[in-house]
Amino acid sequence: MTSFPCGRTTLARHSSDELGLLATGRSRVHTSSVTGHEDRSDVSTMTRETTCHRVELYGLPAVIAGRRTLEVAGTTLAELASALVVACPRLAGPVIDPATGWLNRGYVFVVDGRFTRDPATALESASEILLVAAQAGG
Amino acid sequence: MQAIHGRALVVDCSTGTAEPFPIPPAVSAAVLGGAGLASWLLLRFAPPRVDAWAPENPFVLAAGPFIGTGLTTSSKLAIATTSPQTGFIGDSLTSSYLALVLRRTGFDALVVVGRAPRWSVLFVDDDQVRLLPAEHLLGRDPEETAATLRSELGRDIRVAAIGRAGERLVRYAAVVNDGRLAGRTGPGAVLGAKRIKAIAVRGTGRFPAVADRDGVHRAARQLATRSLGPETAKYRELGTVANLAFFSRLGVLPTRNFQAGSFPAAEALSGERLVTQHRADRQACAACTVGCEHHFRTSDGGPATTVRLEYETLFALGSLCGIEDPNVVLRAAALCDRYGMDAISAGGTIAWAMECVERGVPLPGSPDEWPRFGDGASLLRTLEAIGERRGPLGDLLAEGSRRAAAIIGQGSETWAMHVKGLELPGYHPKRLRAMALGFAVTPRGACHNRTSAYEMDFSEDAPASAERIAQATARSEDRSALLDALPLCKFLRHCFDDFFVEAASLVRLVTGLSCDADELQRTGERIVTLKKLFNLRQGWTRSDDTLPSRLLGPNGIDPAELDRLIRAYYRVRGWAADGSIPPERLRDLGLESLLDSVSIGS
Repeated sequence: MTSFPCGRTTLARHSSDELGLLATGRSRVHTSSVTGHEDRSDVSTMTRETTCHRVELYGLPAVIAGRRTLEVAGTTLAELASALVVACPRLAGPVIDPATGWLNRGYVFVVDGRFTRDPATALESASEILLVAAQAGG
Repeated sequence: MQAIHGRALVVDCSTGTAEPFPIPPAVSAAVLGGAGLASWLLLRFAPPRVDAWAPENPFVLAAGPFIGTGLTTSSKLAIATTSPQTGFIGDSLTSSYLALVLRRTGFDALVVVGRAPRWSVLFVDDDQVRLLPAEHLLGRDPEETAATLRSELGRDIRVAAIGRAGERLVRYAAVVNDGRLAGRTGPGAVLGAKRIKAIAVRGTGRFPAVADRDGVHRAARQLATRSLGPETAKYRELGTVANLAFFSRLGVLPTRNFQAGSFPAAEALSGERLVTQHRADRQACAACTVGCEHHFRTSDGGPATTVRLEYETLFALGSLCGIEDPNVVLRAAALCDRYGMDAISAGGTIAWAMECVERGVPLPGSPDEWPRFGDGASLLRTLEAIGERRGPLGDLLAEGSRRAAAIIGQGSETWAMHVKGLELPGYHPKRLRAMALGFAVTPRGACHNRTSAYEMDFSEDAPASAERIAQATARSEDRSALLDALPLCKFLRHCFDDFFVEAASLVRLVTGLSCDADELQRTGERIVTLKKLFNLRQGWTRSDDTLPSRLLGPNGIDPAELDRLIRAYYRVRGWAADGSIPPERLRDLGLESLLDSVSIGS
């Protein structure tokens, strides 16, 4: 099944500028120093009905996206990863491998409290999903 | 064995005399260097049940065979001494150019005993040793001290120094070099007790030859490339401060003296916010390609302060004390650096005091001076009082949370958050069973660096049975001990597909030892066992392997479950049920013969 980013209205409601980037005068759409791609996260479109998930971003994904959450759709983590790249293309490269559409080795999902890098992980509509660095310690 | 000098320099600062000490080749092969060698030398030179303040307490600096080979992140020195906080082994690791110059003196380690008749600088100038007057350096912070000594003795020297906290015997004082702190367990206080303000080293000799020079060069290039991969991206891009918001979300961020696992103001203190609003620059340790050291600047309009900040400092001076303002945390971190104090123990001890105030348990001194949760000014004021041992409050808190609670009483022992006297780092163990076990049993006291058992709690297949948790915790300790012996930075640990196999390949190239993965794992276990042997000789008992009472019970970890985990860990280690080490286990690990000349004591 192909996954899609969620619609503009939903995204706008949930993508509050929790990291305070706007407060420092930075543009929400800007070119990444990491990937050189333009962030198109707020111009995504939804072309069909599917289950939306609110993915919480921690660490570098959050800094790249400039926000703590993204809303994307998918029934598995593989679909979710693809949808994240569509929602925020700058994740491709540093976080998600553009060749495979799957997470780099440095990242892991946490689904309902369980750490997983299994792309086949099925998602429930109420699943809590976090995207975090695989290296948890310091 | 190649890549070693095979000798240590033993300095008696009571008399100013020094002599080389030959390190038996079997010892070098068995423990490699770094933390392994430092632990063995501590056992060798410390009398049984030595007090941390006693002149006889050795202060050991040890290098490892990888230093100077070009292998990335290998420029680290290990310190071992009797900890003024725990009374057990106090081992710390610090990255610096000092490791490189020490290796070029022709010695693998420096052992300092005695007490100087007056404040001194211990100057190791290749194989010459001098005690220089240090009165003019007293009161100076470690960076100023190093700068002064380099202007006096030459730009080619490197310096490890203590700050005012070490001079005043704050029990968690750090040894500082190149701006990096060896802080945990208080080695700076031991140097202070010896009246050594600084150790200055000039080394102009060659690094000892490696076994396969071309092979090491190839391996170094490969490792450098891998060190820049996605496995270290977190450390390069944000640093360890990235942990804070995520840990709060998981409920494992110690907050208000471990009364909670989530901090409502976590977003304000988050690494993501710091990086976007406070980042100044990024630097790397000596001989490191990763560059995880992130510096942040204040933005509150007060005197500008820029400071390196790690997650542990951020949590200890932030959520643990209920502080929401990142500017306060940055100023507090700078104070810890300036005084030369371990930020985890400083924050942990102040958080204990804050809870005393919250509960109405009086502290010494004026109530106006007492620290309070969320009060940034009181945090900064208290840190200064501790660093100076100023007034009865500063003097009390300079003792650390365990001793301070024993003095104050009134039940405050129950909220003194330490294991063996060492304050807990930034992992609330209530929901982390493997980490809880690691905190309880690691010889150093509560530590996230000697056991990275949290990786099991944060993994896809978090083990459920006590036996599997114990097994994984022990293997994690062994890996950490090996990394500290080579040495290599723990931030590289995920750059290996099979750590012990690939580390064995590196050891063969560097040292020429014919070792395999199994032998290297035994090396790690051997080093952990040496540390435990030191603790046993210092009077360790089974009751020392535990957790603070706050973490046990209906709202925390079931004490019976913790007991099951600890018993399983002892079984995995081959130890007796009371935690002692049977002679046959020492034989299995090849330690019996290495300890011929060492008094194990009872």
